[in-house]
Amino acid sequence: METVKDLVHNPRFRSTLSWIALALILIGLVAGTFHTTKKVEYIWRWEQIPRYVLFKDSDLIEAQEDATVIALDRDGSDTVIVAANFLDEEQYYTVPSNLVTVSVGDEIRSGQVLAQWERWKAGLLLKGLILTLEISVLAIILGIIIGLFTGLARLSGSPAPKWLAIGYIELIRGTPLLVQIYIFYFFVGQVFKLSNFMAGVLALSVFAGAYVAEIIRAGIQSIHRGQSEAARSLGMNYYLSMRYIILPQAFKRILPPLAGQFISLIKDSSLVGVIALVELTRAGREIGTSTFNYFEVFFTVAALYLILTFSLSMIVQFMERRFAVSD
Amino acid sequence: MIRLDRVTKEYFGKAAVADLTLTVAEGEFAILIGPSGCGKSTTLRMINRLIEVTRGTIAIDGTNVEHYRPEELRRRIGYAIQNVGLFPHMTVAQNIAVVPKLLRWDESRRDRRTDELLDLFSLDPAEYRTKYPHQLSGGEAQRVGVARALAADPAILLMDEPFGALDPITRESLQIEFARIQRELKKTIVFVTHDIDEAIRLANRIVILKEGRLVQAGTPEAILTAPVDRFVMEFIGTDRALKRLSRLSAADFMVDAPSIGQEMSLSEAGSALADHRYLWVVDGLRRPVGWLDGDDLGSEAATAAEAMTRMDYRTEGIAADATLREALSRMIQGGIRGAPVVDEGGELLGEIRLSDILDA
Repeated sequence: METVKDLVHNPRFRSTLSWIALALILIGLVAGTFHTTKKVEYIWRWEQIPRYVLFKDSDLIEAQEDATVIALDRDGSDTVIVAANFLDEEQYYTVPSNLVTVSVGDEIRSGQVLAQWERWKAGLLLKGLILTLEISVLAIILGIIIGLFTGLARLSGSPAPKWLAIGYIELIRGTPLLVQIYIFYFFVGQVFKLSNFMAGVLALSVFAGAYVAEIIRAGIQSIHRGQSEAARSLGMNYYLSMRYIILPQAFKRILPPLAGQFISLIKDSSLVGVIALVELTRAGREIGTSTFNYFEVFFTVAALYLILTFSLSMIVQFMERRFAVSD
Repeated sequence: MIRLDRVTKEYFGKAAVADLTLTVAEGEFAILIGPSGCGKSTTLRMINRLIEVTRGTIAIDGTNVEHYRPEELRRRIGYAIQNVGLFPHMTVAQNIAVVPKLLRWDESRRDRRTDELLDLFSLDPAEYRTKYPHQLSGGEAQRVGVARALAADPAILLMDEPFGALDPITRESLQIEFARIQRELKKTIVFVTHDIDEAIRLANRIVILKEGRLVQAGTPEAILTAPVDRFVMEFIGTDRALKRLSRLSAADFMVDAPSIGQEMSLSEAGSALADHRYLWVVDGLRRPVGWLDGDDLGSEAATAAEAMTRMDYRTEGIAADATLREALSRMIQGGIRGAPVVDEGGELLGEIRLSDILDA
């Protein structure tokens, strides 16, 4: 009996037990999913997915008419084949230089294959991923700028900037992002003649800016009052003390909540699909409607979002470690 | 020279400082002191315009401080803050060089100045330059804080309880060090504290405030000898006589000490003793090793060294820069009426007598 009791209280035994439990839960989850898909009689066609990320496109250039090659002009890595028909009308065919098979003076006939090659092209999912990335990066940069100024205005002693900032923050936080995107697309976009890309980016920036402002405000307020007092007493004005004393210290503290906010922003960017921007989620839906491979497509979409958000987490962790030097 | 002329600071109609007139002469070490809420910090902050006056004027070398831009004014006035206020994300060197950098000194001049100040505060530049504030002890951080205030060599230094957060031992050693530095630099200093012992140890002039009003200003000696009212008397404490002794140094009160070599024969010593009640016996390096009085002459011993009452100059000698308060404490402890005053090497400089301390 004693040995059993000892074993139960042994921390190493307990930890091993916990690892086994974790493995069992994971195996259970996989088995459960497998069993469920059997039940819904879904035919998995994972082999369809890769071509929506990258696919090989074959390109073919054929001669349009019978003609004589009169010149080969290099244009970067391509070559322009200049040919003239019997009426001396010139035709131009652009082909990769390494695939040129004709030379000046050669006769070419209508339908003759001048060059044929294959190349990798981005599929709809990869294009969607890139658009999501573009929108998110732009919105993060603009969001930081808007958030910084709003955060500082929020802490200002004079009523105009302070109350404008409060009004903006409350307005944005109190309405759904989807509604804001529609307003930016239909109203602001119309008034300022914005493309749907710009409307989407601006809607997300303005949305993120309100949250960033609150994070920056809290960060600045968390720095001890003695710091700004010391900065002032040494002869720094507001700008210098913010730039060199307060913000560098606050930055370290706001980095983790800021990272969380930007991870949310990447995920929220899926909403701009409603204004005809084919970002990652919208791309997934379009593939789904045409192929009915909804299961595989959305698992893939989820995995691609995870790659973006996880990379961002890693970058922020790296930055946190670097800034931790002076702590 | 700093001149405050009928300065008043009101908050919501209530006066924090009321009708304060005060002049701090060039090179003077003035200490503002009083219970909390007496307006001492407010007064200090009005000098570099961290707080603006409600009424009255403050002038530095005859120019009203309001004629300067606040930032410019503050770069010319050193300010050492309560709780240090070092910037945690900057190294010691960067912290010290803040004002020189604001004044656009070039890098080599800034580096030279930083090293010079670290040396002045007995911090090895090579070791401390690149440290961050969290790697410093309380005393070291406070030294760096004062060094930073002195960085651009301002003529005026404002200090707001700079040693307040330190343990008593560190505080005292820093006070002694700072007094030494001030003797060298001769800055015009306005210093705020609520510690009367600190004020007596450091100040040329003490200004006692109560509820925003000046109660008494004068040299520490004057205030200790003639407190104007009950409040001052209670504030400086019932041991003010003892406190006064801590302003006086043993070197100023010592008298010549009669001494003989330890090899002197007892009979010669006897004749030397005819003029004195006792003699100090010194070794070859003139360090006191004992004393001899009439009772010792009756012994069988051949030399003074054998007959004398032994003593250890390292523990029983009084350093020349010790205060009379320390000397008195030593004498009471040892139950003696006189003690030898020695220099750093232990050499006999003179002696100090209990009767002289009582007359002081």
